[in-house]
This record gives sequence, C-alpha cells and structure tokens, in this order.
Amino acid sequence: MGRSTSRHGRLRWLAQPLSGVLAPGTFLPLQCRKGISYPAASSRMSRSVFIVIPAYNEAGAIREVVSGLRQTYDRVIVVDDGSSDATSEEAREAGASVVRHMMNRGQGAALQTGIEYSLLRGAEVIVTFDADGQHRVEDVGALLGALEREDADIAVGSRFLGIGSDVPFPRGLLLRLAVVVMRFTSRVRLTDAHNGLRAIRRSAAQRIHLTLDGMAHASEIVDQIHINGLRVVEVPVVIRYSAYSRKKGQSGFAAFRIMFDYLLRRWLR
Amino acid sequence: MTLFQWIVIPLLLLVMIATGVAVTRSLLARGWGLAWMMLWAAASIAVAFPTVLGFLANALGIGRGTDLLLYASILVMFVGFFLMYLRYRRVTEQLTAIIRHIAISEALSEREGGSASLSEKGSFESERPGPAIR
Repeated sequence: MGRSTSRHGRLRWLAQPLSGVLAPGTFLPLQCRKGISYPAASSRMSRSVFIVIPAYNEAGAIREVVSGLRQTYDRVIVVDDGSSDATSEEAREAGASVVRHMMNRGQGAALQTGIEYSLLRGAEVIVTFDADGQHRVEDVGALLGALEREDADIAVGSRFLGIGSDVPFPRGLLLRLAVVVMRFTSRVRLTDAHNGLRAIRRSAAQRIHLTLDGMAHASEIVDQIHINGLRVVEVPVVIRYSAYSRKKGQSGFAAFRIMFDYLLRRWLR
Repeated sequence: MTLFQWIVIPLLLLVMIATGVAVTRSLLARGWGLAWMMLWAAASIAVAFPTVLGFLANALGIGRGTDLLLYASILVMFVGFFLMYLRYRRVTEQLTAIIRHIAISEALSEREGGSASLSEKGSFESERPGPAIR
C-alpha cells in the first residue's frame, strides 16, 4: 500500500522550490485513494484514541456530540474556548474531559491545546472533531481504519470524495478554490483541505504546532504535513449541513481574512 | 522667526531631550532612539528652514514641499501600522501560550485530584519543539 502515501524530506522540497508553481504536473507525489470507503479500525487501537473537540458557545449541540462519541470512544476531550454559555458543564455531564481556556483564543488555539493535552495523557491517535454536529461518529472509525491500514501519519476527511455530502454550492466553490490555493502554497494534493475531521498519530501530532489561533489553522496543518513530510491519506466522510452548523460556521467572506492570516504567517516564517 | 516656529521648535527640542532620557533609562532601544531622534531633527530642520523641504521635493520630482511631507507621512504611518500589527500578533501568540498553559495545568491537576503543582506540569511546552524552520 506504499504507493498511496508518500514521505518526502525537506531536501526534496529545496531541490524543486518552484516546480510546483511552474508546472502543475510536478507536485510532490502525494496521492489519495479516491472513492474507497474504509471499514472501522480494530478495537485494539481505540483504547488510546483521544477525540479532541474545540468548542466555543456550543452548549446547544455539545451534549449530543459528546454522548454520541462516548458510545464508541472513552476519551473525549472538549476544549472549551472561553465560552460564555454552559458548554463546559454540558460536555462534562455528557462524559467528556474538559480543558477550559479562560479567554476565547480561536479554534486553532483550542485545537493545539487539545492536542498537547491529549499527548500528555498518552494519546496514540488524536482525532479532531467539530462541536456543531456536522461530523458523523462512524466516520471516525473510517479514519482510524485508514490510518492503520495505510500506515499513514495523518488521515483527513474529505467531503468531496465519493459519498454524498450535500455541500451548499457557494461553500463548495469556496472550498474548491481553497484547495487550489493550498496546492500552490503547500504542494500538498488534497481534495478538501478544510475539513475539521482528522486523525493524527502521536508521532505526527508531536510535530504539528499550530500557531494561528483563528480559522487559518486548517491550512497551517496542511503546511505542516508538507514540511514534516508526513504521510497523509484522505478518507471520504459526510458533512451534515444542518441549519445549526451553518449558523455557527464561518461566513464565506471570512475566507479572505483567514487567507490573509495564513499567507502573512507563511511570509513571516 | 514666525510664531509657528517659536512654538514648534522648542517643542521638538523638548521631545528630543525626552527621547534621549528614554534611551539612557533603557525604556527605548538605542537603535529606535536614534531613529526617533533623526525624525525629530528632520522635523526641526523642516520647520526652521521651510525652503529646504521645497528644494528636496523638487529634487525628487514632487511639486511642493507640503506634498512631499504628505507622501512621507503616509508612508511612515503605514509602515508603523504594519510593525504594530506584527507586534500585536506576537503578543496574542504569547497570550495564547499562557492561556493554554493554565488550561492544561488545571485540567491535569483536576484529574489527579489537585495533587500536581503547576511547576511540575510546567515543562510540557518545552518538550514539544515546533516544526522545523525551513
């Protein structure tokens, strides 16, 4: 299965600094297995799986999300990003461990906190999961299965591979555009670079360090996949666009601010 | 000298003294102190000898001295904004690090029944080096 993933070091990147920009055919050979659905991982693995859920004012949805996950996974970590509502209480009552930011620092910051906390508690695999109920629990199993089977460092969900997510048209267009931008900036070939559902192995999580507090962390993760030469596999997942998740989600215009954050970070690095 | 010059030049001299004091008390880095000094000095010269500005403007191909002043101040302003923004980003990153540290420490000590102290847990940041800088 070695062909479906690839590892490339930093020297390789230095050797072809512009090729990705000049000739689209010469992107680094990172391929994804499209349209294959993965069965769930073995139970052996799920003991040290930590589900990290960044949540900001999600009291209305978090209980259902946590209890849904708790039926399969023991370790559910909710990072309450300084919510002013009862997010922490709801999450705790549903059986999650809560890590609480005393001030709102943004989703990227909350994710990084959740990752560091899970690593300290000995996580072998860290799954990031959105708090608004847009992800399905069964897709976590598919991610873990893919991680194990493909011997990848990170598995990311894609709403554009095969199985049907009912992506609203403008959002779909925007996400596709983002994928194209990411191809040029990171040379990582993904079909859905901005999916909140990911599974990361411990060794990879230790090398990922999100510095962008806001929403640009999705692009930052893709960058760090590339910089660290992590093997990535994409897994088809379903995103449920409910009225709630749309209301809580990012507006399309935010994309420009997010891109500015991200590009500035790249230039300053 | 005009009244304007009588008012502004002593004021600029005072500011220059203040800048010098700030540097000696190390409230201001020497390099930045020098930069500010040069700005004040340039402003003093421009006020004392307004024709200098016009001469400079002509040399640069700009019609009037006031236009030169306008362009220069806008440029300096935007550079200033940018530097401030970078500083702001750094401060927010530091703030996030503090809040993360507190959040993780609290969550861990909650789990262990409050037995672990903050300093014992304090090393978690240093155990995780950031990504390699290319």
